[in-house]
Amino acid sequence: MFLFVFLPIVLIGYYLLNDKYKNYLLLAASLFFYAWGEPKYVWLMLLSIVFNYFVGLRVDALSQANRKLWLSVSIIFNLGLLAIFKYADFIFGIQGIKLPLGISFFTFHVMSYVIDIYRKDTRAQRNICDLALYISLFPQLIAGPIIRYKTVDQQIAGRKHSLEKFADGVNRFVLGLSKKVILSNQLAAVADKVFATGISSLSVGESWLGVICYALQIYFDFSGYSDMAIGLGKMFGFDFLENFNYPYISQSVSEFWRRWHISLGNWFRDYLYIPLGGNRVSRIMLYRNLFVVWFLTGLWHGASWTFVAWGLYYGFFIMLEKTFLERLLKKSPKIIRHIYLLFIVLIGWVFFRANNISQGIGLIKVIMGLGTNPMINNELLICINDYWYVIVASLIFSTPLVKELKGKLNEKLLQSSWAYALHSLILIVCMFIVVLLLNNNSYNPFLYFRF
Amino acid sequence: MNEKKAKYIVIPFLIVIFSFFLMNLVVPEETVSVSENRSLEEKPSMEDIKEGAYPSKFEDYYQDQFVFRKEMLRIQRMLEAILGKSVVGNYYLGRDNWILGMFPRVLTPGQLDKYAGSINELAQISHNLGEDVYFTLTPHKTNMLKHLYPEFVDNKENIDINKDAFKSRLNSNIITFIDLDEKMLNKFSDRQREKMYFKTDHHWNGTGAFEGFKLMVQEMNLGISPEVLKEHFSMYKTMEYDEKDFVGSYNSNLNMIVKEDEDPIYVYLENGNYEYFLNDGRKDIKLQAEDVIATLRDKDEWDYGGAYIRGGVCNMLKIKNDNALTDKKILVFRDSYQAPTTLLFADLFSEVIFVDPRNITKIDMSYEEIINCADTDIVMFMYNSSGFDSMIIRMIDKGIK
Repeated sequence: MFLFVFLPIVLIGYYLLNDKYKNYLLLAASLFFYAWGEPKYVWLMLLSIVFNYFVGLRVDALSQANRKLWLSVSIIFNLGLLAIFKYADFIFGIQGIKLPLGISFFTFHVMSYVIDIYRKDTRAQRNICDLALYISLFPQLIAGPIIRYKTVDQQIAGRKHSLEKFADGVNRFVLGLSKKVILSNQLAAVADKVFATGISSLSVGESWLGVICYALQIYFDFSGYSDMAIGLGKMFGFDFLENFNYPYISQSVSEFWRRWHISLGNWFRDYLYIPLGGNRVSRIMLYRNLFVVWFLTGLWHGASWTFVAWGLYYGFFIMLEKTFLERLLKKSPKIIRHIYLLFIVLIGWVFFRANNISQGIGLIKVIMGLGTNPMINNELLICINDYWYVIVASLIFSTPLVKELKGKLNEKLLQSSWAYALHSLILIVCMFIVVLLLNNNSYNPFLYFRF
Repeated sequence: MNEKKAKYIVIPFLIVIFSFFLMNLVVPEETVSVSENRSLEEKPSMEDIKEGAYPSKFEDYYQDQFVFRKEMLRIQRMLEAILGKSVVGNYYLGRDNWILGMFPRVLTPGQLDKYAGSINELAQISHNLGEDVYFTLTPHKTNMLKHLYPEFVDNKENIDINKDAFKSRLNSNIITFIDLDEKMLNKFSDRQREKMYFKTDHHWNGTGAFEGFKLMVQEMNLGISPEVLKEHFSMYKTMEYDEKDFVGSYNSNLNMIVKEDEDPIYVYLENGNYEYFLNDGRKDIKLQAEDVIATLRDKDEWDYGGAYIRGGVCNMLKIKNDNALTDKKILVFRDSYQAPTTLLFADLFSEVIFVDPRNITKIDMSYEEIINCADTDIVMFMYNSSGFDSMIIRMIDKGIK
């Protein structure tokens, strides 16, 4: 429906309207988009917008002491909303509160807005509709990327539209959509099957395949949504920052987190890690800072101890790397560094995906061959038979291989009409496959319900 | 990228999204998806807005009514087959155009106790009325053609497990259990059994039904000598009717991606003198043969039910035959596997009543009342070996007593 009803209507309206009304249309479309998916809690986002609008104005206008007070009020309010609607069960044991869609994303957006004003990185937005547009802009509302206010405030005020930019947007959007529907959803079928199987029924090969498929699924899902957001942004004249940069080619955990969900990493770095002192502190304080940041990074992903364990797990390896491991790794061959990173990440995904810590530990035992599970079983062969082409394609597209091959081609050839016609054909085929898969009730899991 | 080249990207994209947008506005709605065997979603109401269910219901409706949905489903199935997927739309594709269904799940002891208990209860009622009781398990294609399944299918024993566990719970003092799966497997080779089933449907054909029927009758206490029975069955003729296109149930569910030319086979006696009645438990309404047998005879294509008989007419169907081999009357609780045996029963019994549990919901009688009213010599439960549990569930839902 988004693709063939919402998007055409919004595009027509947007390009028919005079520039000064474009933001109002986008705001109305964004609120409708959110209310469609989350009719119950749209008021919560509106409350957050109105509250932070007035706080932003106060912070911008007042003296240093009062600004700090209002900043604190804003942070308490925003984190309070998260505590109530996301962590009520986890922190207070209160059950039955439904998690509003995208609350983690819009809360982090709005916090960045007030903090940036406090730091005088930007001025408060006088037009509440423009602020509401920043918070609720539909391309990035549900699954990010987390866009800092200061990176888009100028674009909200006025932005350029061109056919070339629109084409870039289309290209990026179709690419993202294909990543999500053609690759991620198919990989999810394998991963979900493996994670739903009892530990004793798994084979070693099947558990490896399940974890690898999950690693690829979450990458193509998340980076696919980011690509769609960036692409849609371009169609409406925005330029959002990149959120993923081939994370699985990293050679250390620190590098992985510079390439994975970049906007979240930057948010925690700029608004938490550096204010805590960053790495320019004593070793003990550095460890404390890492603990706090990674505890909260884990918790941001979901209100459960498995996510906390997952966050601290990365914090632990980053601490090791900062202490000695990075120096040691630099002396090792690239392949060793790469295997190290992939192994750490895959084990991390087991905890991230597992229903509880005990299932995670059980699965890791099978992966390591520590149980009595057979090496291969029928299920493994069926999965390979049914999904080998998706897995191979996903492995290739998770690396910059295609990009590098394209870079080696003759520039003249790439700029020819034939190359563009072929490019266009590839996009149409991708669209066709996407429609085919979506239209037939194919498996379409939504990973962000927890965020 | 210059403006001219940008058009290569933008124009096709806009054409695609706006074409689908407009086509979905103008193409008329459909109500049923034959291949998925379900009704399609309807536009949500104002009531749904109040309940907050409008968005999700509208999305389901939009997806169900999406233009070219049927064609796209077919393309997807074809691609799955070309890619060699182990399962295509819930089926295995075997050699020589065989479409093979999934094996059922193993029934739990609790389920088996409940199902067998209900049959035992009805058997006791029939027994008290002096009627003979038979439970005939007709051999499902899935269990008869195991040799055609891919090697990775590892639950091929499930039907046998369910069958044996069910049989062990039936009261053998009053119920004669006729296991046609076992008899067909013992008597016929793999190749012979292949000839007895449709490739693209989940049923046996006329030949399979005839052979199964003969094996069943041999196990029944009808007071007829084997020689007489042999002679009776030797009079049957066989005809393959190839003037229409046959639509197999499995193939229909797969949007007809398998191109297989196969036709229904009839095994029949010439000059049969049958009278058909629709019986609602109180009175008989006379029917014509065309209302019962091969109801799709005037169409260009037909399916199994349209070629033999549909469960819809068995609510309840009584057939009388003055020229029958015995003067016994039989009540048969049946499923679709019974269809090609309809006239075989009528040739043997002077009166046969067929009751399909899926089609008698509007008849206000319990199964005990049906048995009492039918007043026959024999009561038979005749369900296929893969799905007998679902038929008994229907009976329990309606009310045993």
